[in-house]
This record gives sequence, C-alpha cells and structure tokens, in this order.
Amino acid sequence: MNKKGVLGESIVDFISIILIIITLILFFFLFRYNITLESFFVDKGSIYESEEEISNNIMLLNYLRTPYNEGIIADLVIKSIKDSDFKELDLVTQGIFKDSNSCFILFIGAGNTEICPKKELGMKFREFRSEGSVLIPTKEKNIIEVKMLSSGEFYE
Amino acid sequence: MNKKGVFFLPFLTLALIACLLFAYYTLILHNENNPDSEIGDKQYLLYEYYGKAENYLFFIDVSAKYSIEKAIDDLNKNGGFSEDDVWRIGHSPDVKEEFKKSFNKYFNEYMDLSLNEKSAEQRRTLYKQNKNNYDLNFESNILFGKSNKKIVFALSDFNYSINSSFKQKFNYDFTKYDFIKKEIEDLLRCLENKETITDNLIKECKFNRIYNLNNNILTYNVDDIKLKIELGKNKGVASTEWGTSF
Repeated sequence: MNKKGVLGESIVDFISIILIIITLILFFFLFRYNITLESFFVDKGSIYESEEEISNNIMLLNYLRTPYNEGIIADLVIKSIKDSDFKELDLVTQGIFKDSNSCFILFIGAGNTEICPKKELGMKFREFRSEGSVLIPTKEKNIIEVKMLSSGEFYE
Repeated sequence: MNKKGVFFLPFLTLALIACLLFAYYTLILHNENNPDSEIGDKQYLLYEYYGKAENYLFFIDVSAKYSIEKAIDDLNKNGGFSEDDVWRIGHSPDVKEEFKKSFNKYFNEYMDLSLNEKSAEQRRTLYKQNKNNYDLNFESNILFGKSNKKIVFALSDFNYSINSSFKQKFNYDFTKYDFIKKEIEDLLRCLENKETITDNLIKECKFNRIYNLNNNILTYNVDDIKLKIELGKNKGVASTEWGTSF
C-alpha cells in the first residue's frame, strides 16, 4: 500500500468523523431547540384562561337556571328588561353570588351590575378577563344576550 | 486496509445525516399531530363544545317553555284546536295532538330566531337540526321532548354530538275536554235535525251556560276555553257518525 493512499484514507476518515460530530451536535441543537420551542408554546396561562372561560359560561348558565319564585332567574331577567326595573334582579343576584370568591360584571340589556362580595374585606382580585355569553329567547320572540365578565379568585 | 473499508465511514456519515434529516422532518417539521399545539387542545375543545352545547340546550329549554305557553293559549282561544275552528258533528279536536301541532309551530319559530344570530354555526345547529326533530310525550303535567337525531357540532378533527332533550312542567288539564266533549255532544245530538236554532230550542236541550248565538254558531266559555260550535243540520255529515267522531 502506498503512503499517499494511506494518507488519503486517513483524511477521508478524519473528515467523516468531524462531519459525524458536527452533524450530531447540529441535530442535537435542532431537536433540542424545537422541543424547547414546543414546550414554550405550552403556555400554562392560556390553558388556565380557556378553562376559566368555559367555567364562566357554565356558571352563567347555572345562574340563569337558578329557580326563583315559580320560574328561573332567566324569567326575572326578561321581566326586569321588560319593566326596566332591575332592583329585584340585583338583589337576588347579589344573594346568589354572596359566597363567591370572584368578582363578576353582569351585562343584562343595556345595563350592567358589578358583583364583588368580598371586596369590602380588603381582599384584592384579579383583572376581569374571561367572558361567558348566553342567549335567552323571550315569549315575544326576541333574543336577550346576557354576558358575564369574571375576575380570578381573590388573593390576599 | 481493504478497499471497501475506505468508503465505510463516509457512507456511515451520509446515512446518519439522512436518518437525522428524516427524523427532523417527520418529528419536528411535519408533525401533523402536534406541530405548535398546546397540551390538551382537543380535550379543551371538547370541553368548550360541552359548554356551547349547554347554551343550546338552555335555549331549547326556554323555547320549549314559551312554546308550551303559546300552545296552551291557542287551545284556549280556539276551543281545543290549534287554529281557528268550530266543533260540529264529526269534527272535534284531539286536544293533545292539536297541542303538539301548535307547540311544534312555535318551537320551530323559536329555532328560526337563531337565523338572526351572527354565528353561522349556531344557525346550522339550532335551525337545521332542531326543527321538527322532537318526539313529544306527555306524562301527567310534564312534556318530554327528545330529539330524533343527534345534534352534531362539526369540528375539524371530530364531531361533537348531543342527544338533545327537554322536560317542561306545565299546568293544563287536558281532561277538562272530556267533560266539554260530553256537553257539546249532548247539545249537538239534541239540535241535530233543526234547521234554525233559537234560544228556546237551546233551553229545551237543558244547556245552562251563558252563550252567544249567531247564524247557528254558538260561542261560550268554559273557564279560559273559548268554544265555538256549529249547531243545527250538519252539512253532509250523517247522524250515524255520532259516537265515532267523539
């Protein structure tokens, strides 16, 4: 075997080994970077929000389905809008949410009501962010939309 | 060194690069299942549609409640019929069926209300799927409605479907009509062959209610029910039909 041949093979081997090392390092970072980026997309905040938004809608539905007199709160909502008198609704609503650890703003008709039962205890609450929306048909075949904004729970 | 051995390491390098490129492409660049998605995306989508379905069910519940009230108003206003009609020999209402007819009319109108909504999805689900889609059954004073077909929310990856139903209590005594039928049957029998009906003839039939008589059409109220009866010789209806018609 001549010396040039041995030298040539050694160079090829050397280049190959270097290339393998570079490739492994490159792909290690490529995979690592993407996996990290993917992990970055799993935003705990956004999961929390979407969950809260759905819960908020269910909470609004439960509120509207709450039995009141011989009907449900939704009937009182319709009556209040019809009579433009929200006193009774306001009173009943404050009573329903009195033990809640969150603050709410209810948008009913043209008006809105803020319910913040533990505000007076000096507790702070998070910003209003998640929203629920429910449609109520009326006997006169109109549709009333009731919206509810909710803050997160109070914190010290 | 063997000549074949000369190419071993470069081939191994190329094969390794090819494998890693393939893995990179399939796992990272072209991953259909989870490219940029968040953990639990589909689960949350499912939960989100559970919430939306609850909204629809609430809309259906309230619609059913008002449709019942309106159907009862119709029965009272039309003497047991769903539309303006008169009792006569061979023609009396099957009150529960008339109620269902009237209920369906109003319930479908409520479903049409969703046409005004901005969301195309709501239009699709409520309007198309809920119209004429309910089997109605009575159990004492409760009306049960159960959808014949599932209401489907078509999503990109999967369909979310619900069996829609409602249960509404109402306060209406259908048995009142049994008594009314008997009373009207007696009166119609009594005046069956009379050409012109007069107050005296009605009195002879021992009909003791306060009524109004106009062109052989007698109208009177039983509680909230307004009844309209065509008296006298019936047009083309043989008297032998009595008994089967009521």
